Amino acid sequence: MRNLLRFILRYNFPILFLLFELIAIILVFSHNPIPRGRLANQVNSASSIIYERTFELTQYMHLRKANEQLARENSFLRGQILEPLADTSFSRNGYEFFSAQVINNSVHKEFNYLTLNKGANDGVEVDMAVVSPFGIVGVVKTVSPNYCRVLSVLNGQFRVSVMLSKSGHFGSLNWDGRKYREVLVTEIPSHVILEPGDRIVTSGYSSLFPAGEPVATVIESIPAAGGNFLEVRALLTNDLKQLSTVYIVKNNSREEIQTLEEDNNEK
Amino acid sequence: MRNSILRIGIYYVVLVLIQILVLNNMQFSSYLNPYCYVLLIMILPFETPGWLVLSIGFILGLTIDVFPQGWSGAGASLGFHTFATVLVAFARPFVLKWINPRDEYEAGTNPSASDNGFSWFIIYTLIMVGIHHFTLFFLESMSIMRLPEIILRTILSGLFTLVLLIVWEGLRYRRN
Repeated sequence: MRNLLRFILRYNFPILFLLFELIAIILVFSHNPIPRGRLANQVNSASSIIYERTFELTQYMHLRKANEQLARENSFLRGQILEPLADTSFSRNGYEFFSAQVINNSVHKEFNYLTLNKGANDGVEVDMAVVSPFGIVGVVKTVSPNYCRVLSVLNGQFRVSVMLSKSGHFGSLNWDGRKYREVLVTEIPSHVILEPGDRIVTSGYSSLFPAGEPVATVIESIPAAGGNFLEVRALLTNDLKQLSTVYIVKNNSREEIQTLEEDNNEK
Repeated sequence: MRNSILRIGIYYVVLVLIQILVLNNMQFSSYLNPYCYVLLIMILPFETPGWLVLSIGFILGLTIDVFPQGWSGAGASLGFHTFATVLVAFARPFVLKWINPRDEYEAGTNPSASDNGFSWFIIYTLIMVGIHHFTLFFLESMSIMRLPEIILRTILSGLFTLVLLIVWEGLRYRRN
């Protein structure tokens, strides 16, 4: 206590100074609404300058995000423009293509399905193929009057006959349920030399898909158990997460072919 | 001693009255606002203890703050003069030491023109008035953005105050 008193007496000048200035400051801020507002403005303008500079510095880091956002907006707008146009149909090599919109889609389950906004009223039938400009999508499984359910490529039950576009060898494509962009192609003869990036297309043998539709590109090939065949890991050309407009494919000669083949089998 | 107290009391009353009744009502320009009452802090005898200088500064500033408008009038601006004057009172011993013409001020003299000469007094006034006016104008505008304006106001108003104080001291000087 005595020390404190001695301290105060010793430094009475600065202590008294600070005390008086403190009182003055309290007076300034308790009696003057304007300075308080001004101080707030000062702080605001100072902080806004800081924010602006920080934004200038960090906006480069946000470019990636901004890009993604723009891309999303782009695809949304494109969808709006193309929607009326997209409702089209065309035919090629005896196959009829008519467009449909994906209204439901899954890629992360073991058995994935899509729902399209076309049904029996639009001429959709079971076992029709579904493709997009980038690759195959799946096969129609069930049909209601206005909608259809599509078995996705990303479904353990899906199989399609494919062909290596470089060598012409055939194989069978199936999804192993791991990554949604990667599929397995089996039954490729083991002597075939494959390089990463080789294109895999539909063979047309199934009579579901037209021949030559892009499917995937080779990632790597490993000898399958047994030794006679290769197991090829391939990257789907189609990003099934980003589908909006797809084409339902009708094979005009399918019935004829099927009847012929069945007749042949019966005999 | 009693002489000093009386003299300071008279200075206090006269300076406050001049400030409030005359100088505060002068409306030349926002750049010409003289505040002569600082003179009271300046001319306190050398021996005045620090706490007394500060206290006189506080009372003087508060008077200038409160007198024209009362405690809580509309648009009352309390505290500005108090702050600036206390600051000047705090700076006084340091300024006096800094511009000390010789090693020690002569005992029994005052920091005035008549005791230390006019050139010394002008420098003393420039420093003290400069501190006071700058602090005051800065507090009032409360803005760093307006710093050039504040400095200009300090210079012009400070010179105005200086002229008035020189006239004041000159009159006293001749009388002595």
